[in-house]
Amino acid sequence: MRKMLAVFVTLALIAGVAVFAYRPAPAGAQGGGTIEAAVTYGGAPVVEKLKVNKDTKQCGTEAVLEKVVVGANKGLANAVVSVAGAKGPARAAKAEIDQQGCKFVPRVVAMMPGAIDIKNSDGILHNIHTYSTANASINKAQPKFKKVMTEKFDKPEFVKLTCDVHSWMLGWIAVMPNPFFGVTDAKGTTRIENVPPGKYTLEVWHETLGKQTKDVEVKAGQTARVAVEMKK
Amino acid sequence: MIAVIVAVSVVAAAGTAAAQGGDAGAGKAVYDLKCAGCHGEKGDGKGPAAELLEPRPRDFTTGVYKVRSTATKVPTDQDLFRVITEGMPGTSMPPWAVLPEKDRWNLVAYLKRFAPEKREEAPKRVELPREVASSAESIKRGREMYEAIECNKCHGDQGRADGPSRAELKDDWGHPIRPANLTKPWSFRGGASRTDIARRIAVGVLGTPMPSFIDSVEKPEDVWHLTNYILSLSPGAPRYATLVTVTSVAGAIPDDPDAALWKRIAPSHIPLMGQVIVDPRNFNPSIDLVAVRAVYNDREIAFHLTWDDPTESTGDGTRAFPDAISLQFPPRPSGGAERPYFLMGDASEGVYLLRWESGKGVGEATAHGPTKLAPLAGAEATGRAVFAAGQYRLVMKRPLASKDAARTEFRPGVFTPVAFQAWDGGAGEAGPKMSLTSWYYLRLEEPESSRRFVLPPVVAILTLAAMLLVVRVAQMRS
Amino acid sequence: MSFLRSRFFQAVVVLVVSFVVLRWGIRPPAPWSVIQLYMFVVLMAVLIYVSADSDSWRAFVRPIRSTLVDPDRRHVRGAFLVALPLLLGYYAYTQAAARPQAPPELRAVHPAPPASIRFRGKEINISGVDNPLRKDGAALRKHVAAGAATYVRNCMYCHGDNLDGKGHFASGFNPPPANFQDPGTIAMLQEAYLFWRIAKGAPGLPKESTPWNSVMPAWEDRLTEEQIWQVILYLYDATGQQPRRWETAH
Repeated sequence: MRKMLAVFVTLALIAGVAVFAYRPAPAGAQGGGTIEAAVTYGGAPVVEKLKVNKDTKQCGTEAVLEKVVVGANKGLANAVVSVAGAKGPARAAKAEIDQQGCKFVPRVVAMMPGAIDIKNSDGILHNIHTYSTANASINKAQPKFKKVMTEKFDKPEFVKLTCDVHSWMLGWIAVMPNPFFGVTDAKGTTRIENVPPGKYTLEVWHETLGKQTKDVEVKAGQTARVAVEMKK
Repeated sequence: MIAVIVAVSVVAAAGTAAAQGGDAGAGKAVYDLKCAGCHGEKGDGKGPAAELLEPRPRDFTTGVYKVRSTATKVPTDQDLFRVITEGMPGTSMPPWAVLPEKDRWNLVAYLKRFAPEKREEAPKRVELPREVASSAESIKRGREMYEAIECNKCHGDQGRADGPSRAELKDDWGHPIRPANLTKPWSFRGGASRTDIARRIAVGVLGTPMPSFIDSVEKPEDVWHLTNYILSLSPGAPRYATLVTVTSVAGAIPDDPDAALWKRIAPSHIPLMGQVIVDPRNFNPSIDLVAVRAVYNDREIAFHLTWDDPTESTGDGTRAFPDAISLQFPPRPSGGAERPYFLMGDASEGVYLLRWESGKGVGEATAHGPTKLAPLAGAEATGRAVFAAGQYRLVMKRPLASKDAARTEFRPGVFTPVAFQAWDGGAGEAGPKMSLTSWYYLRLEEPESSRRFVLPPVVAILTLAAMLLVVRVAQMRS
Repeated sequence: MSFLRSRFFQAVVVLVVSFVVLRWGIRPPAPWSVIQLYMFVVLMAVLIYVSADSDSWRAFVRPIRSTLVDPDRRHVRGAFLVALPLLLGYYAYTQAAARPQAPPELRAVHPAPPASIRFRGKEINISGVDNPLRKDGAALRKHVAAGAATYVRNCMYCHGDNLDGKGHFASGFNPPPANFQDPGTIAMLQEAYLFWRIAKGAPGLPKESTPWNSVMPAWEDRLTEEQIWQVILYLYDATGQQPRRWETAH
């Protein structure tokens, strides 16, 4: 009897610790699934080049405007993949975007409503000029000595980020309503983990190619592979 | 009718509190009459004049206003009232102080109706740091900050709006926009007072590339140091001249626009306006002011011209053209007032032009209208131009007399008509697309004489003598 | 109080009052040359008046004579002997040291219009013609609106949003653009006169109106006959002025 009690207590403890440890991501602990999205685009990449007339030490002599980046096997980079309607807690890590080489790095960053650190690694004047409708637009100077500026975006939307000093600079902050999102890499893929099981609409957004949706069913412990082809 | 008058006077008596409330319905009547031509009946900034204007008229439906005293996006009613009353210098928005104050408050109320959803948030005035009076030290700190926060990227090293990012700038609607020329505070959109400038730096100009700097300076009071520095770039609004006096000098006249001689001569400031008579018309001229200095000696006359041009351009012949400037004279200035048509003459009566063009240098021409230029043979004119930090300085010289009947002769003491034309090739100005003036006068002053020291005593003594004579005669007769 | 009643004092008062009225009583200020001319006329009139009969003349010169000869007025005499030469000497100095001003431009502001003009090859009668669009009562508002649109696209830059001659190019030009709000401009003119001025602009002015100085374009190159009549409608409508009517012949 004693032995049984000890086993029970031990089990209870383990379970308790386990529950506690998994609290930031309970969906996964309770058998969430994974979505692996592969976004492709059949069209030609749109990458423009521009001669730079200032700050060539930091920006280089040629600016590259990566409007549509297509990698191997037609994989489309910089697309935001999200799971509409899913519910989950906030992500712990603070979002971050850098201005490096007179480019936003990464070009597209996704985050949940809240604060984002906008870094200036270039050590020259940039200005954070956002275009948005739900959130107040911002136009703040970030001179060389301002290494980080923290800005808040409280409402979900795709916020365009520009710099008037270097007009070719373009970035996007995707403010998403839930934590189930990802931005495609150079191969056009992204993984969204710990999605609670269920049927969802997968949304894919790209800055120039617009939005596409696809139905997806997530099963506990399984990986759902979804291929989405973006069209112009 | 009487009831209306009584009602109006009661409202008026209720004071400014009531007036500030403003009646949007009454505002609409004023708006349709006075504002709709540019801002459009729907307030969308698409009135019939809109496409000709730069900057474009405000689109009120966005609720975005350039000039505001608030830290947030929404301007205060007072901000709107002020822009209506004082206009926006340097743009087509005139001061509407001519309207009764009540009408202006009504307009404020009506404007807010165009974007009610943008006004949910209450306006919050920005708190400026404690004012720092101007001093050499403050101006120096301002210059350091100017460099540290890189104002020069748009406004240029000397503030003449010639920064490397100038050509790229667009407003929030995608229309090209020019940075302010900081040496011309009288054209600042939001006013040129110290507080106005400090506020613009602190909160930026909404809808334009000008960002807010209040969180981006090293110390908050740097906003005031920057203000003091900016105001130090300009001696204040120029007093426009009606007469260009040509000073008599002894000895040779230097070609070098930066020679010491030119710094001793006080400039005559001449305002230039857009040419809107002949196509292509120029509603938004780039060059709006030229400072003229002129001297002559026994053989030559020389003109020293200074004007701001944000881009040094020799032109690629398609979008950009050579920069140019010209002085226009009647070929035979008669004693009377009659002279050729101000717009480079006409078919019946031509003008003589002393001109400079980038890439070509100084030359002479005759013109019988803005498109009918004929260069004059034989180079009698010489000169030199320098371009630095968004400004041209040019010397043009010519012999006083000429055997050629097409060339104007210059004689001391004669009022000679003169007009000016300028082209900013980098802004696409060429041919009739120029800025210009109508006729002014030029006069070669007589060499310094001692007349003004000799004449008064002579007059006084003669008067005294005459009076003594009269007294004497009168006394003798009585 | 005999001094106040003296002819001399009255003459001085008349001269001073005339000067004050001419110098400060007229808006806009009269040019200096005009004031000089009028003052000369006033002086002549005063002299003729005081010299009308010998008694009057004697009464007039009495204070002058007494200042010149009476021993008890020698202090006043001395003061005059010092002050007057100094005053004239100073005047001579200001004249010799003055920087020359640009000569004034004397121009006829409302020259007489021609009887008729040729507008794009068509003969248009100027004398006796009314705005043809006024007959079209139903479409009047439409014409006014069209005139407003033409105005802001062409005229506003000089004549101003408020039609007060204060457009943003106005400050650079002399003569300044016409101020239509001023009752001295369009309210004094027939609509046909405006048609002539708008159609032919500065180049169509007679010599006494210094056509080489005015920057008013000849709008016949750009606007149609109807557009010009529409703009004229707008000018009167927006300012609340009434055009002058042709005097009807009896």
